[in-house]
Amino acid sequence: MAKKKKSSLGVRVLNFALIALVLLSLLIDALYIYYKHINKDITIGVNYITTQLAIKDAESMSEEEREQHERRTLLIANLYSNDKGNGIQLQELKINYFTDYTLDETTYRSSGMQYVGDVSIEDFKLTGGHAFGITTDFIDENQVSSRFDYYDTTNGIAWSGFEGVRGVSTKFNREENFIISINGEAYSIQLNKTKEYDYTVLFEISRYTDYANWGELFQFVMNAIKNNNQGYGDYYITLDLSDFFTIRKFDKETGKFVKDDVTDIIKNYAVLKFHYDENGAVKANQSLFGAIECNNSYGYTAEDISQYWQERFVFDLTNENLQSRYSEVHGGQLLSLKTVDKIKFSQMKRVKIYITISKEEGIIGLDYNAFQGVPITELVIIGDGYFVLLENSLIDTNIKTIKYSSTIDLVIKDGAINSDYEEVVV
Amino acid sequence: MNKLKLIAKVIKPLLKPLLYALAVIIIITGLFSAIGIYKEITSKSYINGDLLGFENAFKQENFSFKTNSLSFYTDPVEENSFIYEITLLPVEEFDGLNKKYEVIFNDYEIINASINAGMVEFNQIIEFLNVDNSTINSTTINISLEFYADKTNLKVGTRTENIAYLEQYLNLNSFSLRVNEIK
Repeated sequence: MAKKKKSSLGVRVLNFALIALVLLSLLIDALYIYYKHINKDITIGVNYITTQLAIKDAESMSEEEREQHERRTLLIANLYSNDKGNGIQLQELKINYFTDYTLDETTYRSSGMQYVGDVSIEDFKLTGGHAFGITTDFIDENQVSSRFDYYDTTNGIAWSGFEGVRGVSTKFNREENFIISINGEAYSIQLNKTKEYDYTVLFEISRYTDYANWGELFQFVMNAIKNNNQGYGDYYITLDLSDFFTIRKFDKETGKFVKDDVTDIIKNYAVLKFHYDENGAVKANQSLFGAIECNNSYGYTAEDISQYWQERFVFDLTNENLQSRYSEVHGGQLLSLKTVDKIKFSQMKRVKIYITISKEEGIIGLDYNAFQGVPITELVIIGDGYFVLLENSLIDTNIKTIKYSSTIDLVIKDGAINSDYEEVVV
Repeated sequence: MNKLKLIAKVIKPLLKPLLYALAVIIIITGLFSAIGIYKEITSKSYINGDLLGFENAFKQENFSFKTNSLSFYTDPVEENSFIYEITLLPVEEFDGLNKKYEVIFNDYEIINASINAGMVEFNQIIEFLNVDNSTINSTTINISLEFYADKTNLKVGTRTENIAYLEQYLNLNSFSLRVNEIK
């Protein structure tokens, strides 16, 4: 009899605890419904995806790094509209990213899409649907549009490798994840968003699903460029890519890219740097990838292939580029190059300097150190009468030829020139 | 009445297990709801990243232009002539009459540039040497800048028959032009 009372008491306690738990759970369920569906407070998360550089502090960048900063935004686009009718329409979109979460400079990579012609006429819509309660939607998440040429770039080398599903280039499909940097932290983005639309067919409400894809993004970007209010030129714009990309943050502790499924609204803005040109494209060097239609010689003919060793900038100096000084000792005006110009020319590499002096009235020669250190190819003196080259006037110039009129009485002082040269009477 | 009694007779032994099962289900949903509420209460709006350093410029203090994709087009007006034209940002207060400027083309200062009111123009000869130091091509490139109040027009032209050498040079070295005020 005593045993029966004990079990009865235990069962009652358990039942009481169970009822208490159930009531508590119902309360929690009610609270959850309130917070999720009735409470109007929302959270908004914003991701600004800008430069993809392995540098965390933008202010500490050197000049060269700053130039790179401007080049390596997440998205870069090129649009040669051919509004002048002098080439072809060329549209390109390049994405800059990393190959792993270390975000190191060695993991830089870029991939891109190129379209020749008018991309606005294409239809890239991907839809699947439900009908009459039966799921019929399916799309191939791995499919890559064959209407583009694709390129990859690593460390200055670009290559094209699209060959359907098993090509070697990066796949611009809904499965591909790109690792990017936001403020030095690793994230991944995947173009896989969908939108659901309801429509009515025969009194039945059906729904179809629109699948965002890279072709649509490409058109979206090109439309944004064409509709910018500044017109042609090079600018930055900020695109709202929330309808295209899912973003995940890299968790260093777990080693996983974690999706944010708590925040009510997530906005993803990306900086696009674009070049919008009224000309058409004519040569491969105008492409972001150095090739058009996978041809890095596009626009070049056999005659265009030129080989040279080095170039030289040629400068022709005359009396107008020189200063003069009156010398009582020599009884006339002596010419020389200004010191600031001497410094400029002496620092120039690969130049040829030709000097033509017209012996106008009062001019009697070149001053001391007139052209010292300036690389001179040829000196021509035109006119008649006495003309002197004073000491060091042409020293360290490596001058090769001095030409002068037959009516010039040329006097070259000792120490005026320290290179082998020839005199030519013209 | 007999049917109801029969139903009651069948259901009665199943009632207790059903209630216990329902209780467990409610407790489990309560657990998930608790996790959901925790996430809802602790979630906050956030901003990752910023747009610092990405401002567009709509004018420039000194003229500066650089490109490594310059390609020449056949001039529709002049025969045997090739041009490259581009419209760029306006320059603030360019005054070739009352101010002094230096013109730098690909790191070479062009001392013979003609500067007047709102324009700069010059011709520059570039020679191309073969491996034996002989000259295989000589090109004159004509560059003009027109500084309007709302834009700057840059025109680069050449009448050389073979522009391949010039284009290759510009591909390897880029095209860079600066006009700086000397204060």
